[in-house]
Amino acid sequence: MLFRSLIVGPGKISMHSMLVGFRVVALWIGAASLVIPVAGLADGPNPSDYPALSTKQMGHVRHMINMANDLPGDFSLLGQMDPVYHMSFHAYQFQFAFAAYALASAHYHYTPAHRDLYQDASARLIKRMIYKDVWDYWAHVSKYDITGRTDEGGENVWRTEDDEYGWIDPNIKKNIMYSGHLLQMVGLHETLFDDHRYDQPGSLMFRYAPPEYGQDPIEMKYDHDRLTTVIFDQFEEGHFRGIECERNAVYAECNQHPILGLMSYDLAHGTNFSPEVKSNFKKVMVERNYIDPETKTTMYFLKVREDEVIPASYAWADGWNGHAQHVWDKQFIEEIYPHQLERYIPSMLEGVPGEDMGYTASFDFGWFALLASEVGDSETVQIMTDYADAHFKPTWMDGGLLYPNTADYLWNFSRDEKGFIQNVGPVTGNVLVGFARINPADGLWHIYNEPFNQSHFAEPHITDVEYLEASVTRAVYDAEKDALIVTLAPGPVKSETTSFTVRQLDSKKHYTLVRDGKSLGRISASRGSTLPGTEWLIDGSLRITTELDEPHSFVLKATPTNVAAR
Amino acid sequence: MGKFVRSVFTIAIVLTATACGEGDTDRASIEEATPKQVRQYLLEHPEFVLDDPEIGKAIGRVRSLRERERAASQRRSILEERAELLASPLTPFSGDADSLVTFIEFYDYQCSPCKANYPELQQVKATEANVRFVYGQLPIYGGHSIMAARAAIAAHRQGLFEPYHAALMTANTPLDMDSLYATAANVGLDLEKLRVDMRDPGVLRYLEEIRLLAESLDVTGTPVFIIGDAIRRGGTTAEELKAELRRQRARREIATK
Repeated sequence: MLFRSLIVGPGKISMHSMLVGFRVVALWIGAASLVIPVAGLADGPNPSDYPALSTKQMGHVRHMINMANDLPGDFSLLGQMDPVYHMSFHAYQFQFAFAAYALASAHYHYTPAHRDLYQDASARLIKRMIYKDVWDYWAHVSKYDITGRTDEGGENVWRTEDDEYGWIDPNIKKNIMYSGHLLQMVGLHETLFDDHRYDQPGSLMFRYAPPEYGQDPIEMKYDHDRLTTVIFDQFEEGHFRGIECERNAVYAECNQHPILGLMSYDLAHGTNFSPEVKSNFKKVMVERNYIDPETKTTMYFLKVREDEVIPASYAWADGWNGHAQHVWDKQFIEEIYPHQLERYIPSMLEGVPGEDMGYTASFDFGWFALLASEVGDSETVQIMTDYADAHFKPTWMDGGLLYPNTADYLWNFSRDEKGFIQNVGPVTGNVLVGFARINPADGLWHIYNEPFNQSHFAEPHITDVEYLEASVTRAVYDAEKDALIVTLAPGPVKSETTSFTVRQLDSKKHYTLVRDGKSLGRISASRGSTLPGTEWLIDGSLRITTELDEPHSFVLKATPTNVAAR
Repeated sequence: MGKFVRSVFTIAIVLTATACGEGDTDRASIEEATPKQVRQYLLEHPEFVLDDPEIGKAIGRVRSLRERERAASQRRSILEERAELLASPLTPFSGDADSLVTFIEFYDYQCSPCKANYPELQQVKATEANVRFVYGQLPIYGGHSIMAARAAIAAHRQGLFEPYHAALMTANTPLDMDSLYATAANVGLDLEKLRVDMRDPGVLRYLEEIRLLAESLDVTGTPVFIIGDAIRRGGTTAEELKAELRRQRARREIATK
């Protein structure tokens, strides 16, 4: 039975609370330590008390990092796009953007003390995002009003009378379905890694070779500031009804991403853009029934010229809009979620497509699973990820886990003879199911509402892990315990040993190193004392080498000096 | 360009004269039309160009040529900027280090078309003198490809790149760590040193730099050949590669005269 009561109200303990909420951490770890004493470090943290990426979660992380690592012009894993009309629900931009958000969730909740891998992947995804094949659809799409299309397959498109030539620049006007994601990705990069590279003028460079060959390419220079300004101004000019995605169409879900992007920008730059946009956009959403108060479902879109809201009941729209709006409108989304769950999930997983379901499951499935994860409906997440494992042909590729696209994912809805969904598109199979599996309750909410502060960036953390050989499934610095907890598992490339470097240790402190619950001894940079498999580097970092036949957990805990001196 | 404009103008005058019934046009005066006059005529009658399919095709050809020239010029600039990287002690190469033309192959040890091309390349290398052949590691087929690229650079440090490269390119077995090390042992590499060099941060940085070079040259897969300032993508033949080398040599010789 798929119906259930949801535990999404206040009172649940999130993973982030475990990491940074000192009181909760102390109580929880303390209780666990009573049950499982740690040999050699009686009051030390027990790694199993901290969240770790499971084998499947790590597989999704690896697949998304593989996507980031592909050459910018290599789209072979990302499905087939119309050569001109690149955009669809599976468009490259959505795959890169949601991969970035999923990796952000993995980093924040499981491996906040392992930055370089995720920082590099984030930068690579942004690099891929600004590669011309990802955004140059806009030079074509911006010429047309396609709001006349119908679910039955009718596609009334016409050239717009005003600005009939559209725009090449993908950010300057409308197209928030692209620029909003770019803003969110850049904002996350800055706030998660304290990396300000995109504040540099021209750091987001768009190059377009016009069809009139023989002329120099057009260059459009952006940076975090300019992107923010361009987007905020459009919110303001449109009286906060939302920025158009396609011409003449405002989608609620597309406008959630720039809001999250503005929240990050405000955090990093001390500005106040996001409160104004959130309050005014919410006002319009309520006044215009962007989410229908009767059906509790998100509109299809607002036709701007006709000033007409087109209502809808689509699992993808509710999942997409809800998971992001939850970040700044938590209570409201959690109130309507049970209605949406009841509306979609039975028909999606057991029944046949009907009016309560999107016209294709290839993206409905993924976005709704993501919403379920964000609101903390772990039971539905489990059911949906189990369903994907059973019916979507899970595939391991170069250490990564994905669900391959079915051939007809764009337009056809099909089920097998037993009624199971066969239709998997790349945004679901590459990114969304994995994102849902990785993202804990309130996963994005915590990233934006309890962001890393400057002290986080001064804490001990690990670097220089051989990514091909080792998977870091857990990397947390517990400030209350003054301890770094790390778990490594074998990666896709076999190796007998592997190493990692611990940075930002306090040279005045002594540390106890515990491996798999066994104390290996005490070390100190100032005394130059080492243990087998450890080495102090010139810059004060500690290099630890270990065999890697199976997963190993490490705790590096500061020890009171008087204890160490004994 | 002046010749082209003058021809256009000549046709224009002839057509205009024919239309006016003036069959005895003074050709001498047409030939004497200056580019300025031609330009003025076209400014006043742009439809003359727009309405003529032949001229349209000619303009298209010129535009394509210009685009190719622009892209080639961009590649030349990038390669000049990265000359130090290509001359790095970590960069394996064969042929003549001081030759006029550099030939870069971007490849992956698990890329089937790259392996299929290997005999063709060997043929080119055997017959073409005065070329610097650079091995551009572009591991894009996953973890073991990356490890193979690292191992190849590590083999280069031991002076055994060529036999190791040949063994990997001609191997029919799947690539994994066991096969990488077994192949290394077969060609006489010091495995302990190889393992250390495969983790050397300098080697890792070098491979990242080569990847960035490939990206800046708009390489989107393997194999890709940069021959002088030309680019060829995908599988090819020795004859095609030799023909491009001839073109590039001719261009360089003209440029250096």
